[in-house]
Amino acid sequence: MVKSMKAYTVSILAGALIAPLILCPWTEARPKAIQSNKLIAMRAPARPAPVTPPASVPKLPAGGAVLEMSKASVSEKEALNPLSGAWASAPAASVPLQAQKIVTPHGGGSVPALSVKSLHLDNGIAFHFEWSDESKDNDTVHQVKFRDAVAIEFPVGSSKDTVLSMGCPHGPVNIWHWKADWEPDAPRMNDLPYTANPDWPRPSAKDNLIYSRLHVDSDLEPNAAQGLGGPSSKVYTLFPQNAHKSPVEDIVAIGVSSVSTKPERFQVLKGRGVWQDKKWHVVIFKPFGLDDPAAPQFKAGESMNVAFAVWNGSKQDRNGQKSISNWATLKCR
Amino acid sequence: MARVWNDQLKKWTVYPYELPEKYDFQWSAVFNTNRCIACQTCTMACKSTWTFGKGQEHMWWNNVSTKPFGDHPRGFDAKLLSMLPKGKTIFEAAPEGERVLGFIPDDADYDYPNAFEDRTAGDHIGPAQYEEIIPSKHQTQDRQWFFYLQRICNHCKKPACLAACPRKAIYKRKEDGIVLVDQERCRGYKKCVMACPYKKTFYNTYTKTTQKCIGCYPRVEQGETTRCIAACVGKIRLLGNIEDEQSPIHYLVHKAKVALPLYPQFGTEPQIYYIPPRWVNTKFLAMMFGNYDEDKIKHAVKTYTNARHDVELLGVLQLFGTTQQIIGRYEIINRETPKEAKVRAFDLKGQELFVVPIYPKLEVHLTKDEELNSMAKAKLASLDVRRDADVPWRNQY
Repeated sequence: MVKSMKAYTVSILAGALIAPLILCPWTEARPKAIQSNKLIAMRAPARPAPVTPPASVPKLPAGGAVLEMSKASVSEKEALNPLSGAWASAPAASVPLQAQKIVTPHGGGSVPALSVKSLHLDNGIAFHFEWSDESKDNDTVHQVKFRDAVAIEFPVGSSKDTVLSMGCPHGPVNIWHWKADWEPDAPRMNDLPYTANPDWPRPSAKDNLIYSRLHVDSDLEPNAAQGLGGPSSKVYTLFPQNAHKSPVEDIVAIGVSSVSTKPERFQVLKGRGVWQDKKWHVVIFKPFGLDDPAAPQFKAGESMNVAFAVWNGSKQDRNGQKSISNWATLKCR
Repeated sequence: MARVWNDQLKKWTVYPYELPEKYDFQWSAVFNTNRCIACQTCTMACKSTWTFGKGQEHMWWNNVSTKPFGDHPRGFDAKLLSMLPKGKTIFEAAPEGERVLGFIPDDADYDYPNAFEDRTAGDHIGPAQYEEIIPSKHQTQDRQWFFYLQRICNHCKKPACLAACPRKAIYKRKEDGIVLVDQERCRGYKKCVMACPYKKTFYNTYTKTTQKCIGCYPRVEQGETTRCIAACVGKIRLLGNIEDEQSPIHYLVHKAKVALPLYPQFGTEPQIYYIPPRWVNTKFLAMMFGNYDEDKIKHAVKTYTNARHDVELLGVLQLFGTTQQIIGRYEIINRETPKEAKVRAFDLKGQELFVVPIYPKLEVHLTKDEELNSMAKAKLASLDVRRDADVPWRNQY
């Protein structure tokens, strides 16, 4: 029985394969209407093999820079002034930088080195960055303008378990990102209400959130934007520029193109940037006392990996187009 | 980079992501440039619906420009054409370390789009391609031309904006092929502004994110056409699903072949198709709509010019601007007797929308001026509307 069923199936299959060849005179019988592009597409040559870029290992700048964190009894206010004397005496580490060529778009490379200092204050940790930049770029109101920026990257959890380029799913990284256009003195659009007409339609809470968010931006309260998404999946960039309390954003990432702003309650970083004598002097300060699961743990006497990136706005640096460092060592005191 | 089939260029090309070969529904439209009067009603319909907010002042998701020299942003196409090697798509010509070839327009290009717009010829705009094809000053004495080009986001099948976004904030909806920017993921890197060859992604200077034509998706979800299409007083626009062989869009593009994509050589498979203007330099149109193939333009112009002899084509042209619903399919009634020929349209759910005559009855109202009457009669008699005598208006005499 089984055998005969098999034979039966085989004969049906053979019939199905041969029948169209006999019954359907392919070209002439087809009505003109269905000689469409789809069929032409099907008759196109077979799909060629995917394009594989030449295997090349992107070069990274030399690693191994050692940054020593020193303890200092400096006030938070003084530390937040990047030109204050408190920073002059702190030991500096010079970190070599190089263009980012690990993922597209490639870019950066215009800033060869970054000078980093670190202080352990009574109420927090502060980092001081200094690098040469011919121009102060803090204008993102215009089309072909980009901002200067600096970032420091820490592995979250075990430092051996993550990758330099924005972390990986099992090894998230925490990034502190200072942006020149988030400074209070950055050019901005006129912040007056868009219209003086009180009858202008305003979105109410009942309105579709998508509509009101997308189209009446000036009505958005920063606090309203925070309630929109879960932690680490959203970027709260939709609120107006003047809503930023600090020029530093606290970010988590688990790989390339996964950068996400931490929820508002974790945004406690402070910062200040001054451009003087064709150099940026930037301070990022993190206060103690916040139970943040995605933050680095600084323990006295221990070392940890840190990495840096600098964006040069005048060279159209943004996103992955940046000058990057390799892992450096931070010795905590 | 994946290998993908470009159906407009009929060749395998590259794209950063694998793509489905076919969509169930692809938002697409046909614009008839011959009928446009550049009244900008579409532009204002779009502006007052979507881009009246702060930071959106320079955004024109819909614009109608005077070609050859006008557009918004200024010279967007001429500049890219001068950068793009012939025979390569913007993905194939991407510079080292980039995914797409492109540029970011200047503020002035957004703010002063009308500069030089009224010129019919000249050498101020610069790109070699434009200079080549536009007859020189000496030749244009009797042959000046211009036409109106209506532009919105093309909701491309291979969107350059999507390809360029390093954050994957841009996506193409499976249900209708509309391309959208996730405002919560966008960080304003302007890679999409740089990549879009049609410059229809705009950087919002207030929210610091990119915003673009959303294809009026809330209306499309209800089976309605977009605002620009519904508001068009010239009835030059028709929206539909090009993937459906019964759709009028599919007929115009793939069967009648009267509607052609804008700059297919860029390689993004744009989904706005244009019935090219009948009076314009074929070489120019071939550059703009035909991937430099003049035969495609000649065929489209000839077919459109002779539309009155083609019941189906004329029937489909009657569908433009007749309803605010998206027409899913149509049928021609009484195809063999033009006097009674009609076209019946159905919405996306198959519900009948309307029936209109294909050859409308022509009423001739005579005046008291006998001389004028005889001139009008002579003119009408000379019009060869249909050779086979069965012309409705002739029976009026």
